[in-house]
Amino acid sequence: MKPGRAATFGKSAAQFLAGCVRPTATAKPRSEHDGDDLLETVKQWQQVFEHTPVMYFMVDPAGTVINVNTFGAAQLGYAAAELIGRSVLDVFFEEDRDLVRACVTLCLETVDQSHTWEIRKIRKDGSVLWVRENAKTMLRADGGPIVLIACENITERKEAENALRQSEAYLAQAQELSHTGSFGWKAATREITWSKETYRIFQCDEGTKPKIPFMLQRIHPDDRLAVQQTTARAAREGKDYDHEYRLVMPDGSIKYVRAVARAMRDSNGCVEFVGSVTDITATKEAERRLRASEQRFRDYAETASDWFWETGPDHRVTQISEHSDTMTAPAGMIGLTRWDIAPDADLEPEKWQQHRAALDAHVPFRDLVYRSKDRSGQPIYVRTSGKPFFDTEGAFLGYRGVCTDVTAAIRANQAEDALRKAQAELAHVTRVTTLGELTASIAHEINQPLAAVIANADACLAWLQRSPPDLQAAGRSVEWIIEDGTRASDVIRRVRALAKRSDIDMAPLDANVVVRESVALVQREMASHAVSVRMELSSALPKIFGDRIQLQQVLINLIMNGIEAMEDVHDRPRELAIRSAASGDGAVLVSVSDCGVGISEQAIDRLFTPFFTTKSTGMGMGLSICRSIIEAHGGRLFAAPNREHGATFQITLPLHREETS
Amino acid sequence: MTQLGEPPPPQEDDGDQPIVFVVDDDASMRRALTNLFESVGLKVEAFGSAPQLLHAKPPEVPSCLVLDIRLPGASGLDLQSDLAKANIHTPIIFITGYGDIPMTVRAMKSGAIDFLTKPVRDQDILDAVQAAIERDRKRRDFNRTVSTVRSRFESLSSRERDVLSLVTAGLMNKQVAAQLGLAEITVKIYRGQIMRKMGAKSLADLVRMSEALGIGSNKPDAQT
Repeated sequence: MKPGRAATFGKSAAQFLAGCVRPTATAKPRSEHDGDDLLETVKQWQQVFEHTPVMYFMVDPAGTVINVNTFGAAQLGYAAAELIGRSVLDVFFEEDRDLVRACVTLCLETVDQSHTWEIRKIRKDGSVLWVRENAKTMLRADGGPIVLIACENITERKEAENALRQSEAYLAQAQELSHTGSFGWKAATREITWSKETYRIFQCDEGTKPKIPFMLQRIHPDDRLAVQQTTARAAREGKDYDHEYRLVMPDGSIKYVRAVARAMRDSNGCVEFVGSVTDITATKEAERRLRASEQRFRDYAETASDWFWETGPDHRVTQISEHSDTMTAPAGMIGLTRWDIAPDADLEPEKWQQHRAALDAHVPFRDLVYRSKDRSGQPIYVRTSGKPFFDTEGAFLGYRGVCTDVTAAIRANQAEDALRKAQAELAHVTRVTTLGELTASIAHEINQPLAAVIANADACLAWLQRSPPDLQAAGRSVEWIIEDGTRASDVIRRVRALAKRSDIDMAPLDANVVVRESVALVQREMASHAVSVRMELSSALPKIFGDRIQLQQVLINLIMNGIEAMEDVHDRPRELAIRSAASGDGAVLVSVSDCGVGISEQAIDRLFTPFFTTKSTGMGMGLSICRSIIEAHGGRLFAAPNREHGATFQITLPLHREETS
Repeated sequence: MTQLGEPPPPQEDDGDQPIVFVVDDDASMRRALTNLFESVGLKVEAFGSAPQLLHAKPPEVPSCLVLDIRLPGASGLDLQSDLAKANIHTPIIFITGYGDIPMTVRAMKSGAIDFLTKPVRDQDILDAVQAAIERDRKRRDFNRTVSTVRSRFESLSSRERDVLSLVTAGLMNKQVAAQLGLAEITVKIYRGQIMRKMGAKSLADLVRMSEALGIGSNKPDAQT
C-alpha cells in the first residue's frame, strides 16, 4: 500500500471515528454553530462511510466486529446489524481463519502500520468473495486499539486470473496431448520463447533460455542446412514457413518434427514469428508402416500376375488395375461387359447364362474361367472371382474382383491329357506284346475246350451209333459241348478285351475279380512252368476304382515276371502267392510273391525305369508301364525282396468313393 | 511175338476188361476223353494229376495211359519216368495242346506208344488206345509165360540146367557130353528130362524158352 493513500485513509477514518463513535469526546466544540456544522459534517462523512464502494470493517482486538459499513455488509449479503458484535472470523473460510488471526495479531503488534493481503470471504449465501484487505491498528481516544480494515473486491480479477491459469493449463495439456509446442521468435533480437511442450519436444530443461545454437545442435546434421535456409529466408522476407526436420535426441533416437510459423510485424516493424512445433514421429512411423503395407500388397498383387477390376451397376468394366506385367492384363476393356470380351460366350451359352444370373442376383462368384486376349492379342484363359459392393444405403454399385491368367495351367492340363493318352497307348502296345508272349498259353486255353468239344462230339456220335442208341449219354455229351464251347468263347472274349485299344474306363471294381480273371489267362503259363498259384484273397474287400483291363495287364505282367523268376528253381516248389487285403488307410493291397531268384539291390532301384530289363528278350517296358498305370489310378506299385526267396510286388489302390463316381 | 510153348489160358473175362487211364488237369478235357472212350465201350479211370495216378493201385488188366504232356506239377514226361522207375510198364499215349518237337522226341524215346496233338481225331486216339491195350495185353501174356517158364526152369537140377544151357547154345549131344565129362547117353537122358520138365515139344521151343529166361545168352541176368 502506498503511504499516501494510507494517510488519506487514516485521516478520513479518524474523522469518521471522531464523528460516529464518540462525537463529543474528541471534537472540540467551538460554538453552537460550530457544533451544528460539525454534526452536519459527521453526518456527511457517515453517509460517505456507509455508501463508499469499499468494504470497511472495524474490529476489536478479540476479533469482534465493532462496525461495518452498509456497502461492505451488503457485499457479503448481510445487513450491517447482522455482523456487528459477531466474530469477524465468521465471514472467513474455516481453513483461512488461522491466517486471519495471524494478520490481526500482526496488525495489533504494529500499530499505525498498514498491512495488506488477499483473502476469500464467505457471503451469507455461501459464495466466495475475494478481497484485498488493507488493515491498520489504531489507538482510540481511550488508548484501546482497534483494527480498521478496508476490503477491496478483487473477485473479478481473481476469476480472470483463475480463468487464465486454467486456460494456460488447458493449453499446456492440449500441447502435451497433441505433441505440439508453441514458440515465438523475434528475428531481429534472436529472442526465442518456448512453451512447456516445446521444451519437452527438444528435451531441454525448462529453466534454460532457448538458443539457436542449441536448436541447431539438436537438429539432425543432414537437416541443419535446410532448416537454416528456410528460417533465414522467412526472416528475410517476413514470410510464413512450414517445414519438417529431424531431431537427434541425447539417447541417439530420431524425432521427426514439423514446425509451422506465421510471420508478424511488431510495433517497430520488426519481423517476429509465432508458430507451433509438432512431434510427428508417431505419424511418420504410421505413415512408414502404411507405406510398407501398401508396398507389400502391391508386391503381392503384382507378383501374383493377377489384375483387379471393377464393374459398374450395368456390369461394364469401369476400372482395371495398373500392372507391372502389362502383357497379360487385357487392355481396352473399359466399358465392356465380360461376355463382350469372351470369344467363348456363344459357344457356352449355359455358362454365361448362369454367370449373368449370379451377377443380376448380386451374389459373389468364384473361379469363372473364360477365354480372352492379352494386350498383344494372344488368346489367353482367364479365371476370375468377384464380389458385389454397395453404398452405405445398400444400393448396388457393381462388382470388384480379381483376374488371373490361367493359360499355363490349362495348357498344362491339356498336355497332361495328351500324356495320359500316350500312356494309355503305350499300355495298349505293351499289353498286346504281353499277349504275344502269351500266345502259346492262350492258344492252349482255346484249344483245350475245342479239343473237348470235338471229343464230346465224337463220343456223342458213338453213343448214337450204338444199338440201341444211348440217347442219354448223347444228350449229356451235347451239354458238355455247349459248356466247353462257351468256355472257349470266354477266353477269346477276355483276350480280345485285353487286345482292344479302348479308352480308359474307370469303374468300381472288385479287386478279387480282377485277380481271378488275370490268373485265368495265365493259368496255362503257370502250369507249363510247373508253377502253382496260391490265392489268399480277402473275402470282405471294399471296391476299388479303376480300369479293369489296365489292372489285369498289371497283374498278368507281375505274374509272368514271377513265373520267369522261378524258371531256374528246382530245389523247392515253384509257388506264386497272390494276396489281396484291405489296408487300414482306405486302400486295397494286392501282392504277387514268387520264390524265385529275387531282385538284387542294384536292380531294385531301377526296376521300374523304362528299358531296364534283366531278360535277354524283354523290352524293359513292362514294369515301368505297370507303375505308370497304377500311379494313374492314384495307387503305388513297389517291389521288395522276400526274406527267404524271391520278391514281392505290391500294389496299393485307393478305394472307390461314392461321391467321386 | 509168337506163340510161346503152351501159354496159360487167356483170362479175358469181364473182370479182365481193359482200362484206359486218363490223366489231364483240365476237367472238361478229362470229362470229354472219358466220354469218348466210354462211348466205344472202354472202361475209363480219370485222374487230375500224376500223383493221383501214382497213388492209385497199379492195374492188373490190360490198360493204357492217356497223358496230357503238360501236367501241372510233374509233367507227363516226369510221370512217364516215375512209372518206369516203379516198374509199371503201362503203354503211354501222349496228347498235348500243341506240338513240341523236343518233347515228342523225348516221349517217343522213353517208349511212348503215340503222341497226338489236341484236338485229336477220334479215330486216331481210339486206334492208338486199341493198339496200346493190345500191346499191353501181349506184354502181360508174355510176362505171364515167362514166369511159368521160370518156375519150370527152377525145378531143374543144376546138372540139368548146365545141359540146357549148352543144348540151347546149339551144341550136339556128343559135344555137351565131352564138355561136361559125361557119357553121351547120360546127356540124352538129361535132355529128355529137361524137355519134360520145361514142357517143351521141340528143341526150338526150348531155345525160345531159354531166350525168354535170358539163359544161353551172354547176359544171364537180363530181364528186359
